[in-house]
Amino acid sequence: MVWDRDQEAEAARIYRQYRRLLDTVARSILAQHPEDCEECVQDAIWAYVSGADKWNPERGSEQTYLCVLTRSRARDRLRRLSARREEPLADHQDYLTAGDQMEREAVRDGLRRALAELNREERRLFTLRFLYQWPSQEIGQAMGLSAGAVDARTARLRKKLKRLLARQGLGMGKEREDETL
Amino acid sequence: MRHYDWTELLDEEDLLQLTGEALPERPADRRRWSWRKLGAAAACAALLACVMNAGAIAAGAGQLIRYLAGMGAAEEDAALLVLEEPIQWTSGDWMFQVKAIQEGEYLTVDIDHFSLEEYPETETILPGRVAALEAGESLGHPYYTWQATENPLLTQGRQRYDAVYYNLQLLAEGVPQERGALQGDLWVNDQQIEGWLGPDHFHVNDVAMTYLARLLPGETLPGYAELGDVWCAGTVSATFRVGEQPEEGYTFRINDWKDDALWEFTLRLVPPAQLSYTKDVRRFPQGEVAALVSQDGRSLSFYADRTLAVNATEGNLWSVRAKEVSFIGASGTRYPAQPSYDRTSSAYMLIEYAAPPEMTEPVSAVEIGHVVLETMLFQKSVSDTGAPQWVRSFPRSYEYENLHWTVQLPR
Repeated sequence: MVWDRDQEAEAARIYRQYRRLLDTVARSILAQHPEDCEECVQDAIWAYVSGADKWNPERGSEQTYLCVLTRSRARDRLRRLSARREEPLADHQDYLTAGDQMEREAVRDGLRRALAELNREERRLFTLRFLYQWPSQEIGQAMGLSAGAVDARTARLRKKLKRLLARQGLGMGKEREDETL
Repeated sequence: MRHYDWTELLDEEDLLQLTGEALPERPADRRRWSWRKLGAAAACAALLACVMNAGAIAAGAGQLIRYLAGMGAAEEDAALLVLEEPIQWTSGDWMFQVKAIQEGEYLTVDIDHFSLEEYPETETILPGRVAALEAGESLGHPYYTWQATENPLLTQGRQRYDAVYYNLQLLAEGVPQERGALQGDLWVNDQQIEGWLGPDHFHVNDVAMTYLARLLPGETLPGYAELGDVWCAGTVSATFRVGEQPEEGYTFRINDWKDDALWEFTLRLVPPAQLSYTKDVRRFPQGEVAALVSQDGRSLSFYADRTLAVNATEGNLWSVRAKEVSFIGASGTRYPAQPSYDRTSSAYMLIEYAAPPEMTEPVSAVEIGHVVLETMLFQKSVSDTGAPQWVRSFPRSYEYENLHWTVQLPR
C-alpha cells in the first residue's frame, strides 16, 4: 500500500481552485450557521477525493459535481441542525404544491416540463435562487447583473413559473400559502 | 394538497444539468473522455505498443533524456540542481528530512515530517499552540479549527487532517528570495496569490502550511520504506525564484506559527549524479511515454515530452504514474515495485519506482502492468505589463491496464 500523497495534493488543488464557489454554495444554505460552512466544504472535498462519491465526467464537469455535492452536504447538515434545535428548515422558501391524488413522478415530470419552457438565463436564475438559495449579490456576480436587477428578474421569474406550473396542474407558494390555479 | 421542496423532487441528474448550466463555465465544447471508451483505448495503445516495440527505438521522442540517480528521467538540457548533502534532524517525536530541487531560476524546498509515535507531541512543530487554544485565544486563521484534546493531531469527526503553519524563508547572502508558485510557465508570487484568493488564503503573511496525515496500517512513504511504522506524515513545500547561488550556499529558515525561529540550515545545490539506462517507448492516445530502467535494473522512471500538446482542449501530457510494476529476477520471480521518488511541478516530472529491498537477485526485466496518464491544460491571463491576472489548470486522467509492457535488460 502507498501513502496517498496524491489525495492530499488533489484536495489542496480542489480547495485552491473552487474554495470561493463552494463556500458560497455552503453559506447560502447554512447562512444561520456560518461556523459549519467550512467543515461542510471540506467534507465535500474529501468525499470527492477519497472516491466515496464517484464522479462520472459524462454527467457534468468537476465544478458542477462539487457544487451539487457541497449543496447536498449543506442541506443534510442543516436538517440535522434544525432537528436538534427544533427549528423549521426554512421559513421563507418557495414550495411546489400539487393535489393529493398526483403521483410524485407526475409532479416531477410536470416541474421538468415547466423548467424546460424557461430560457437559459431564467433557468440559471431558478437554479441559483431556488435550488442553491444564493443571495442576490452572488447571483448578480455570476450572471453579470446588479443585485437589484436580480431581484426584479426573480419577481418576474416567480410569476412566469407559476403560470408554467399551473399548466402542469401544479402550484407554487410559500409555506402554508397554498396557491393553485 | 401536498407541498414539495424543489430539491426533493429533482434527482441528481437534474441537479447536475441545472448546475452545469447555471455556473460560469470553463472552456466550451470540452470533449470528455468517456470511461466506456477506456477499454477500446487500452486495446489500441497495446496494439500500437507491440508495433513500436518490434524495434525497441533508441531515439524515442527525439528528446535526449538522462536518468538522475534517486530521482528519475529528465531532459538532457534541464538545468537541475539538487542538495549536495542530505539534511535531516530529529526533534521531540518528529523526524524531518529536507529535499530541494532547483530547475532554472525556481528552487523548491520540501520539508518532510514523520513520527513513529502513535500520539506524537505537538510542541515541536507548533510551540505554544495547544496552550493558546485552551486559553481561548484566537487561532489566527479563520478556516482551520483545532480540537482541544489531549492529542490535537488526532482529528475528531470526519476531518482527517490538521494543519501545521510555518513561515519559510530562503536567503541568499542575507537577502530574502521571492516566494510564490509556478503555474504552467507563469510565476506568481505570494502577494499576487493573495490578491487573487483574498487575505484568508493560506499564503497570507508568508505562512506555508501542510497537512499531517495519520497513515493507514500498511501504508508506506515513497522513499522512506526503511523507516518502518510511521504513524503521522506530511510535507510542507515552498518555491522561490532565485538568482545565482551564493558561494556559501543559501540560508533556509523555518519560523513557527508565531514567526519565532525554529530551525535554520544551509542549502547547497549541485548537479545530480546520472546513471546509464535502458529505454523503451510506447505511444498512447495522449502521447509517447518512455520507460527508463537504470543500469543495475533496480529502478524505473517514466519520461513524457511535456512540450507536445495532445490537442487544443486537452493541453499536454503532464505526468505518468504506474499502479502496477514488477521487477523480474533472473530466477523468474516477480517482485512488486515500491514508489521511490515523486516530484512533479510545472517545470519537471520526476517519478521513480524501485525494486524492494528483499529482491537480492539480479534484475532481468521490468514489467509495467497499469499506468495512469494525466494531461494538463493551462489557461492564463496576463496584463499588458506581463503581471499575471489569473491561471487555471484543467487536469484529466486516463488509466491503462493489462499493458504487459516489459523492458528487457541487456545481458
